[in-house]
Amino acid sequence: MSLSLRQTGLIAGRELRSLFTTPLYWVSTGVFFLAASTIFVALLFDFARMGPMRTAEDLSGNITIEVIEQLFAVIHFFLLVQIPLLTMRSFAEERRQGTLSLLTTTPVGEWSIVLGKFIAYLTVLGTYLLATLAMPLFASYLSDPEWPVVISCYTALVLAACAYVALGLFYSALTESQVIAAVLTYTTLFGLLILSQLARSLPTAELVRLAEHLTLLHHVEGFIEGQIQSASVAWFLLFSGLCLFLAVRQVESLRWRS
Amino acid sequence: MIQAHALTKIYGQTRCLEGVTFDVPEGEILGFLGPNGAGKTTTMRILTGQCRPTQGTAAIGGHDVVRDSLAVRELLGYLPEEAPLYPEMTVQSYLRFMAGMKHIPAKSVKREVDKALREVNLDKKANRLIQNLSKGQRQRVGLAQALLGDPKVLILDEPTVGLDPSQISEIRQLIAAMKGQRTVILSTHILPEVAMTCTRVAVLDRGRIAAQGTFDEVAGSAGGRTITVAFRGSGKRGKDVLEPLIQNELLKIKDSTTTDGISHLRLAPVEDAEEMRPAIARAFVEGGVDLLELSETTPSLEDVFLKLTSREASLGS
Repeated sequence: MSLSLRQTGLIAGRELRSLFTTPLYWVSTGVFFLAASTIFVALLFDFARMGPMRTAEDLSGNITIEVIEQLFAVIHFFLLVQIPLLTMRSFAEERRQGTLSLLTTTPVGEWSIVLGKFIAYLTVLGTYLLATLAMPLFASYLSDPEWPVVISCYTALVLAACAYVALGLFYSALTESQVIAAVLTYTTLFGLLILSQLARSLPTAELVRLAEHLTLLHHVEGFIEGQIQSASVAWFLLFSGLCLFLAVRQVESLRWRS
Repeated sequence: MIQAHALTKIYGQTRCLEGVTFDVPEGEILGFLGPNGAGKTTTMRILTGQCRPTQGTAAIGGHDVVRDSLAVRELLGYLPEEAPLYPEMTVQSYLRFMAGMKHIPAKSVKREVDKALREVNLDKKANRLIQNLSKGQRQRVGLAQALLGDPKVLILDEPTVGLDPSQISEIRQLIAAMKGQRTVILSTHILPEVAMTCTRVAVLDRGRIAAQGTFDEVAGSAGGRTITVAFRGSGKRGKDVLEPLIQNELLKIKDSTTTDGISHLRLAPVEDAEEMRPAIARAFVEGGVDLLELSETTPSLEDVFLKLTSREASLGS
């Protein structure tokens, strides 16, 4: 394993600059914020309509459940849609241009290449999440949301972003086609979501619990309801680590398979 | 500095390389010649760690290209046939990025980038976006990238493709000036380029080395110099007067033609051609044959290349 922090940083910087030159990035960023803000405003209006009928204690609990939790469930869904669109070009484009094979003739390690790209996409998503912080802050003017739940929701989104970016990078390294990379990432992520639903129809409670632990939604829902569970943290970290490891092995194999 | 031993590469049912063995001593510039599909690029890809040989070994600076790939890449500068570039970057930012990839210390990056830009005459285009450059300028950016950090070994695949005549001349001078300082493998289709820049030649055909060595050695393996004699009479008459030399294995007759009573014989001297010419002249005079012309020709690189590659083709078929 060869990892250089300087090379990792340079690769992350180059990937970010490259991403900022693509129209897809600006369009998807615009759509993300427009959709998230619209839904936030709609949730707030709904909440405000019921406001006069509530006590102060009810108000605090309800803004968390009716606005914050709903908002973060929607933002999580947007991340599911957006991340494959961003990561699909990460390796596929470099493979098509031939720049990845040029990089592999320099003394740069595969871990530096993969982690550099991983950091670049997490930086982009980190700025998204930072910007969405304006929404719970605005909500706190109207009422008093439960901040531990907000922190738990952000933890869920950061961990989910890590896992989905790692998966997207792996699939992008598998193929020269950006479209195929995106389709594979969507299929896996939505497959895990559907499996979460199917798991609930299993015959025994033990089987349901076991199946839920293996799928995606159970872990995200737990966080959004304000429960930071070590098993869910471990699930996301293991999932991310496995995908990054597979991406590194794929980049290594590109060198020797040709 | 560069050793390849019995390299074989098989893709599916196709043997791209078959027992390729060569050696490039330190400071030498090896011209890698061969028709399209001869296996030049595959050999270069193996040396640069982009693909693994099916059989055989290769080493650069004593490091095996498969087992010790990272150490090999520390020594290498590589320009592929079509320089892969990031079109959205400026020339300077691309070279700074590649300097980082090559472990050039941060404090030396600016100096190294400026030096590489000057060497390929691109210092005035440093802040241009790569996507706005011409093909020749992009090729020079690729070459500047290969030169970054003064690598001990340079592997250049068609470095002058797309350049204008003055740029070609500059790049050739640049490569020729590397003699004794860097070890270079230069793949090209342009035969005069090899004659102008290289100290050694390897001719690759159908995945095999057809000939290698200095230019004289390669010319020798392709049949070497030719002595042509023109005389009055039939070709048989000329062969008769040369019979003692042929029997003593000093000469071989390549071919004979007769037109309007004047015959031309093309002779291949086994020993030094210059020493053979007086003996041939004496044989004609003593045999009473009117000698009209006696000349010696050195084969051009084109002749050698065509001869070696067509000979390999006929042997192969």
